[in-house]
Amino acid sequence: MESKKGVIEVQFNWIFILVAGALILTLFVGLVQKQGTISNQKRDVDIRGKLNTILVSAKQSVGTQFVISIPKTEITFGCNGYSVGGTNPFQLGESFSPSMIKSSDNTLVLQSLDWSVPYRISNFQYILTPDVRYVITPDSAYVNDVRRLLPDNISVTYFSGTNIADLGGMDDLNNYKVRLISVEEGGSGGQRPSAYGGFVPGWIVDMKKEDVTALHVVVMESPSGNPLNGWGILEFYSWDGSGFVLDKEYRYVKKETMLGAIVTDNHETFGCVFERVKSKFNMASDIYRKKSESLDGLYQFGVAAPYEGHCAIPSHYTLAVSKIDGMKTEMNKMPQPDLEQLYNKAYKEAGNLATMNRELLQKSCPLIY
Amino acid sequence: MGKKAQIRMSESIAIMIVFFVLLVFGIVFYSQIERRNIGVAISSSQDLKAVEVAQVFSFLPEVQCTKENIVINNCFDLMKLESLRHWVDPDNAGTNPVEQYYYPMFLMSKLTVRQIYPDAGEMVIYDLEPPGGEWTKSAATQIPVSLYNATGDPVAGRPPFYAFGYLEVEVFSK
Repeated sequence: MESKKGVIEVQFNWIFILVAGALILTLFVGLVQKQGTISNQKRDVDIRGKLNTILVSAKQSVGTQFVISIPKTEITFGCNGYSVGGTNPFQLGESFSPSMIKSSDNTLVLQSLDWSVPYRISNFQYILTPDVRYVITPDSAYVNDVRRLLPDNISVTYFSGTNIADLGGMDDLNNYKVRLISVEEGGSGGQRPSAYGGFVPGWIVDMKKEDVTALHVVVMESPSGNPLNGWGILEFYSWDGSGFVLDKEYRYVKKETMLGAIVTDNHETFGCVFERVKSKFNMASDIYRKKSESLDGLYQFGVAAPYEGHCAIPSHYTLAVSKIDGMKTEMNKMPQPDLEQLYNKAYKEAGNLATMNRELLQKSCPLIY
Repeated sequence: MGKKAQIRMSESIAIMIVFFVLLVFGIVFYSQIERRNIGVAISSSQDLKAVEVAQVFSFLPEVQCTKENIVINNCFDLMKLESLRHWVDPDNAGTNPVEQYYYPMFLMSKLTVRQIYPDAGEMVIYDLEPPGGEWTKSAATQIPVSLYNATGDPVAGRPPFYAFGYLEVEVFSK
């Protein structure tokens, strides 16, 4: 029979091994878990950094479309900018996107367009995914213009007929978001998305409310050749499970802002980006105003040398200063900018900025823009 | 407890101590290597950031040379630069709302446009230098550019001309 001492010794050894083993195991499990979290964070930060660099470069390449590959991740877009995983969001200035970007084939579509009214103000960037479906409704006007405006390589559905009931025949393509777009020629009395409820197919009804949205565009000014390049009204609708409800109304000027509204499914985010657009407009206007003021000082009749004295007749630079001031006033009107008046001052009314600049070009004088 | 058992206990404890000492050494060694790698990554990302800032600035519509909105590549309009400098106002670093707009793009950096031909001159466009401390400065990134003088000197009869210069970007980071 074993002695009492021996029994205690054997038991103690086992307890010691158990405690030490548990400690070592806990340490390693902790280390592995920590390492896992760190490597996930590192991956997100890595994607964030690389994506930021790619997006910044792509933003400068105006008029070019890029299809880029991204690792499997979800990017959220809101007022604070883009966020990869749980990382700090980064801003890209005037940039438009769906509120959630993910792609089953790990691709993103990037497009950049320059926004000029009439001088160049900013490059707008659009970040899209082929997994969001854009549906141009059958009763929509300017269907071909809207299709041309949307980038290639994204999912766009349009109809050959004009009967709104055709909406119900759409097949489910497993898109995680669907956005309906209807365009109306100002004053034509077109149907609003709030009247689509009964025509929407069942698979849309079954989708999450936040994944179904609609945009109704009322084109108020349609310049010949490019009817979407004037100004108009944007109506943002959300889906309440049985029908579309109007959330908010904005104005657009030029097709680049309209495309921004098509791409951005959240009206609050669009509002935030538009506020940035306003700031940029104000800043760019201040720069062109200061330039026009300097030119006005240099080319006042009688001051400049005779060979360039003609640049002061008529005094386009003086007029440009007041025109730019007027445009800034229209942009900063509350509660909504008066984009109709802004458009008129830039392109339509007598002595508009675009015409003045063209006349200065014809006279070989320094240009306003 | 018997002597044998005590010796075995001490042996086990000694093994444990050696194991943990080796583990601590390993962790310290690994963390030192990681720290060095992070230092290298920070330095390269700082240089990358400087290139990014230079690229963003070069493509700003508010400084690019244009003719009827058609952009002339690698060219800054001196009058636009002067206007931008006037609005950004480097003397009021950090408090100016215009500068606050540009902060997410340019961060803590200094952007200088230097003209080198025909006349020498320089213009600091944006200057947000940190107060000091642990901040480090990236190597200056320089990009050659044309500088368009849209007016020339009408009084002296000098027509508009292009000068040659470069954009210098220095980025600060912690």
